[in-house]
Amino acid sequence: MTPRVPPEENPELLALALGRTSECPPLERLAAAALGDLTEAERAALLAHAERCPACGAEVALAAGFAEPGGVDDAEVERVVERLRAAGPGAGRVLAFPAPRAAGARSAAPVWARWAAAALVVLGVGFLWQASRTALPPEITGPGTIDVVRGGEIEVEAPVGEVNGVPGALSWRPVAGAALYRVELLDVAGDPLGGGETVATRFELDPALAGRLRERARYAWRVSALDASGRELARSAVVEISILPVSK
Amino acid sequence: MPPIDSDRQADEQLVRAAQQDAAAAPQLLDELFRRHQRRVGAWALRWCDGRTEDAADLAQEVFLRVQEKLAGFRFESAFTTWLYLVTRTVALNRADAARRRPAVSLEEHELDPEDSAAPADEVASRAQQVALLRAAVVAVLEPLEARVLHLHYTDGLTLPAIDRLLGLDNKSGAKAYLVAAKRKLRRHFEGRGPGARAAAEEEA
Repeated sequence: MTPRVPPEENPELLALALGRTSECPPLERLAAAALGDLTEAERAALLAHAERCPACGAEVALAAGFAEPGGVDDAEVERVVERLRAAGPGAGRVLAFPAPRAAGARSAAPVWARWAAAALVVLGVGFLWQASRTALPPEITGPGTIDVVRGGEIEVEAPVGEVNGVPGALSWRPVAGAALYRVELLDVAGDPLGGGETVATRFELDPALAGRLRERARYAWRVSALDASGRELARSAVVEISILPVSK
Repeated sequence: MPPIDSDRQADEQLVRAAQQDAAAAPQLLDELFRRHQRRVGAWALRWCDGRTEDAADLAQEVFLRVQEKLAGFRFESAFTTWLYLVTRTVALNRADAARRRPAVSLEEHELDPEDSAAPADEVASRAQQVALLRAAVVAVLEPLEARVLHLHYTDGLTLPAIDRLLGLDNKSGAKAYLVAAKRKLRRHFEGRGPGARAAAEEEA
């Protein structure tokens, strides 16, 4: 029998209780409020929510740090910038502006990125190479880039379609009245691989589940919203994802 | 931060010009990225608790993703806001990937593998536990204490990284807020009697 753990000492319960809820404003609005990108009235309303919400308060604090860097030594920052200038985009090297990828097309790294990756290997800058092999994230979400999958009662944000590497998390738009979301990950035949519940609109794949996903394979996922009594309020469409290798 | 050129174009003008003029795009984007390298680098340093190589790695990946995504920027926010969201997403995804590595333990308590297939009544019970704990957090914790808990338990940040990200300069930093928060929550549940504690402790 599992020993009872006090709620304040249960990391899983704390992670859920402190997460975002369906009442929370979109992240992009919180970031905009913290970075002075809204009217004063809009900003005040968002900050009032953030003051009493652990997740949104933390988001605002993190974003505010982007506007007013502090807490780090200037010389350390300069070392980071030197690394960027020596090896990355914005390094004084001519950059190509990538054309938007056609729907359904396989992903391909920009030409300069391939050139840069090859150059990094030659130069022995191993840490950057290692990162590109192991940590390219799935789809970025942000203003102007969120692609929502409609067709179900819950709108899915990411991952959708082709993703670079095994995704770390699944996300969707909030449903009014939802107390909990149930997530299911499916194999290509539609059989469940695993899943779980969260109060947030983001579900992080635990190591056991993520470990079952392979590159160059197709999967699907769906999410349903439950009220406090466990009754299903809404569900998403089944969303297909294709996991591409993070390096060739 | 570097001095600001008052004659320079706004970030959004640079992006728009780059989207409209393929020949000029490389130089325009180079200028755009140069403007923000220190901002991204400083934030990455705090996220990585001062580890320069990790921060450079993170910042590099941010600009790679910006490069990939910028054609889809729709000017619905300031460029800086959009850049921050890309930075945050890359940082969280890297933290997710790090937690998935077997060398990193899952904190003090392993997740119950049966949770993923919990029946409806157990889901309802779990939802009630979460609701009770969230209500306690809002009722008894200071906002800063709740934010520290969120960053540590939900986002998985280390306490030294939270110190830097929130600019905490008290003697024990985030650890002091975490300890105080847990003490307040423990007293809250004890103060509501054994029934309330049992409800919050009940294992789904």
